[in-house]
Amino acid sequence: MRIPRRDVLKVGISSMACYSTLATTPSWISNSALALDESSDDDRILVILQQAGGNDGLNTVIPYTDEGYRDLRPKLGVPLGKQLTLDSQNGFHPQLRRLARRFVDKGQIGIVQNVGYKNPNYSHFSSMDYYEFGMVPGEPAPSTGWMARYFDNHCAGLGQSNPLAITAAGIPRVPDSFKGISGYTPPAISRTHTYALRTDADGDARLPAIHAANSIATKDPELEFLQRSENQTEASVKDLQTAAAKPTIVPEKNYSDDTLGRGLKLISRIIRAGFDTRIFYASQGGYDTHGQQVKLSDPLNAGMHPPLLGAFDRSVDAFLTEMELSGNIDRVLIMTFSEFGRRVKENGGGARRGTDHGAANSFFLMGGGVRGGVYGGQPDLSDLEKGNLKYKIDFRSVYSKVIEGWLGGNATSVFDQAVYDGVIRPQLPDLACFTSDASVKG
Amino acid sequence: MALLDPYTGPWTLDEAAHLGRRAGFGRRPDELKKAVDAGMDAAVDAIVDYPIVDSALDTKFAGLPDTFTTLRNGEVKKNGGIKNPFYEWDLQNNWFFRMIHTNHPLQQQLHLFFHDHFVSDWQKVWATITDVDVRAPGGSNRGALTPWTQKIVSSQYKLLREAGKGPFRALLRKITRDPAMLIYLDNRINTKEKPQENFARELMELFSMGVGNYSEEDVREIARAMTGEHLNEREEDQWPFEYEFAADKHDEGDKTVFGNKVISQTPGEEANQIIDLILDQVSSADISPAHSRLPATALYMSWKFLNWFVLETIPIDHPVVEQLGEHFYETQADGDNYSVGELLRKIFKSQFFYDRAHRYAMYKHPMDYMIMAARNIELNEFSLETKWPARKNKVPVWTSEMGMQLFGAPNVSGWTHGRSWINSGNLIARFNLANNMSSNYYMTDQYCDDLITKGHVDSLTDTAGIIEFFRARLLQTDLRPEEAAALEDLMAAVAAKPRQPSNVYRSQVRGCFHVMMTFPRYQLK
Repeated sequence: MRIPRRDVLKVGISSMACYSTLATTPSWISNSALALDESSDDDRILVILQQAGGNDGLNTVIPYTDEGYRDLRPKLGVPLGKQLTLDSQNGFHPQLRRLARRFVDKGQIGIVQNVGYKNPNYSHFSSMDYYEFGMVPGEPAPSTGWMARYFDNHCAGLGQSNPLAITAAGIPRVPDSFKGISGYTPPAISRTHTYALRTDADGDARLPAIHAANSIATKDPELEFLQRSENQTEASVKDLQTAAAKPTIVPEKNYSDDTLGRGLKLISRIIRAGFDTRIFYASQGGYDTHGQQVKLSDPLNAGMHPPLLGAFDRSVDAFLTEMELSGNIDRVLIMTFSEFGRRVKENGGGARRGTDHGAANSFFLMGGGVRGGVYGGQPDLSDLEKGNLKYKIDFRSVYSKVIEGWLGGNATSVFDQAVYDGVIRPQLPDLACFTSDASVKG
Repeated sequence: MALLDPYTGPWTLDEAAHLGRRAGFGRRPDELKKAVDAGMDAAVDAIVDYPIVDSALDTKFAGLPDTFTTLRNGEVKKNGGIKNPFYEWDLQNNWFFRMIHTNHPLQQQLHLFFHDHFVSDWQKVWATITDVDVRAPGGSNRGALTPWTQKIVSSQYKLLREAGKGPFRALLRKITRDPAMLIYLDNRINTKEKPQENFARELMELFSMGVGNYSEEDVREIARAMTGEHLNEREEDQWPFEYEFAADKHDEGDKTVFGNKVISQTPGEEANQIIDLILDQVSSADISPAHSRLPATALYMSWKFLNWFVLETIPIDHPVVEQLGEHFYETQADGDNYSVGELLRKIFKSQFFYDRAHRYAMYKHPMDYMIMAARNIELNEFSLETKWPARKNKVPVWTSEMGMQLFGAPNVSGWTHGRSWINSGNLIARFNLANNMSSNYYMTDQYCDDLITKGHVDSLTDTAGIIEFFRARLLQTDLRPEEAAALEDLMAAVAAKPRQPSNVYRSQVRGCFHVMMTFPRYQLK
């Protein structure tokens, strides 16, 4: 076990996984101390990685021994022998070569198959709502995102002192998973170099005026929200400048030039600059490939899907490499999710093939603390529901495993007790995907 | 119809300004005075009854360099690149100019509504066309539109501008066969052998009825009815990329939708039949029991319009949705029901619209934020009349940073409104846009000095006049005492710098504008 280097700052630290000394110290004072450390203590970090549009799990993790796979996907499927073999039944798409090495050589990747929910909805937006708010059809819709509920329960107050307490990186929006955190507007940092308030002239006069006009006592909830957002933005700009000064360790071009590459590059900087950000969110879009998924002229490389997997492979590998080189790999977990998988049977004509919206899918858990392997069983291509994979693991069980086993939180403060008892708890034993579970701290 | 009864309360600058901010991009004091004098009924009619063609705007366009206004076939170079290509930001600049200079602001605001409603991302059109058009340029011209992409994207741009306030049925029919939509939602490759559900699903979920009013079976059956609704992209000398019905790709079997409605053997007509069925299909009682006597589309579209023009947080089961839905379904105009223009007239004349709780209760989307400022302070340099094409891609980049790239909505459901417009990154982009607008590149010395010449400001030392000029055009409401103090401090701090009096004055004008654009209430409308 590593000895935390920041013990000197840890006077009075709370037992909560994401709480820190920063809660009582103004951020501009603490940061200078934090920024000294390249690696940090063993408090754990979660990066939620959205694959927006509905990733085709069956062309990501290939059930290469399953005859049904080739029957239903004669042209779209990865041909037998072309998969990057992971175990006796599963292989990665050839675009995932770096991650395949991490799976085989380092055991840093857990794949949870058959993740979904009952009565799946094939609308992007309805289904994404289920995943981001943490509910399923037929249940009352919560007004807050699942991660917001975790954050409010376990990190209350952190946002007041650390403007980067929970951060969306690489995208210009705050995800619904973070929606409704009380008293805190999470920053959304699309591009590092534009994240600063500029003044062509008279900055010393204009910036104080902007601050003053956004710091007025008000009972109007929208004015309060706007002013708080402005104040927290000013503070996050200061912190980001510190983080942005951290050079990348790997060559910058190892990250893909898209929202995911920019996001992970920035997350790496924030972590390596020593900020106490425990929850990050990054996103890669474009997975709604429909009929354009692959081009038959070169189906493993051309079309919309192979380049997305290639970019995913590059950026995640670059990020994990930087976490290794900076000594942070054991405290970082990436969890992927997508709003649905895709239809098992291929469609399209002419020079290309694709798939419609589907249901159950694979999640990836990646990092030094992951017990590598495949969880959740094999997908059953002979028992489909409306042409789609049936789910076996409720996605909230994976969230709960991450909350409890990784972050040391309490999932019953995020999900309804009855759901936890009836749906989640029975599935947790199948999800022993961390080398050591965090002790539950409350 | 209590909520939608005609508004009978006071009709002052405040009410006229509220109407102006919602039914356009805000209005200047001289325009507001005319609206007040005309009375509410006439003021609303003047806004709603715009002619489809904006001839004064077309005249302004005629005076601009043609690189800005004309689609063009760039000359293809030997290496496959295009000389003098047409970029997607050319089209955005064209639209910014329209919004800033139009005499029909409601037409432009409504166009934004439909652009957000019938999303068709230019990048997918471009990628698809580049794929099938062997003459298209390769990756070196990323952002440069092929001639076919120009044609396809700008034809939807024109369709939504011109069809906006007419009958919704006609618009649905046209958008179903719009080339950009046929590409964006893949119906161009929806065939009887390989049906594609993408368009059929969004047609109901996002474009008309709303989720919960149809089954997965309906999606599949409607996808079958839509097979063969394709683009002409055959390999001949001319590839017009225009709509065509491909009879050999059409599934001729019976289709059963909405439980018991059968469509059989009417190739080429089935898309229209489906749209007619959709428009009459009654809403599910699960959405709201009280609404289940009315068509789902009347309710869902009324709800979307109310959310765009009145308040972002109106729930679909609110009584006003039912009342407006009934009006939308039953009012005849232009030979059909579902008149968008009459729906808007109803909204803008209603008590509900002028409710005090609804003023400054919506978040400005990035176009509101930018266009209201440019229009109301008459910052004509910003509209690219003279600066084109020196900084042609600047404003598109800035609007994209604010979260609203025209022709590039984040996904098929469009942009997310309300508080979602505000996060740290988007706020920074807003404030930096204001800073850019206040730079001497756009807010020139001449502009600042003209405020005095035109009588808006009394003299070089009239700081109260500067503040009032921007207050009346941007905030349109009283300054909070702390805001007034912040502006006075700003004026004093700028005045304390060792500069010529004329430069102090100009710096005060620029600083006042920049700072006021960051006020919380300027983010609201």
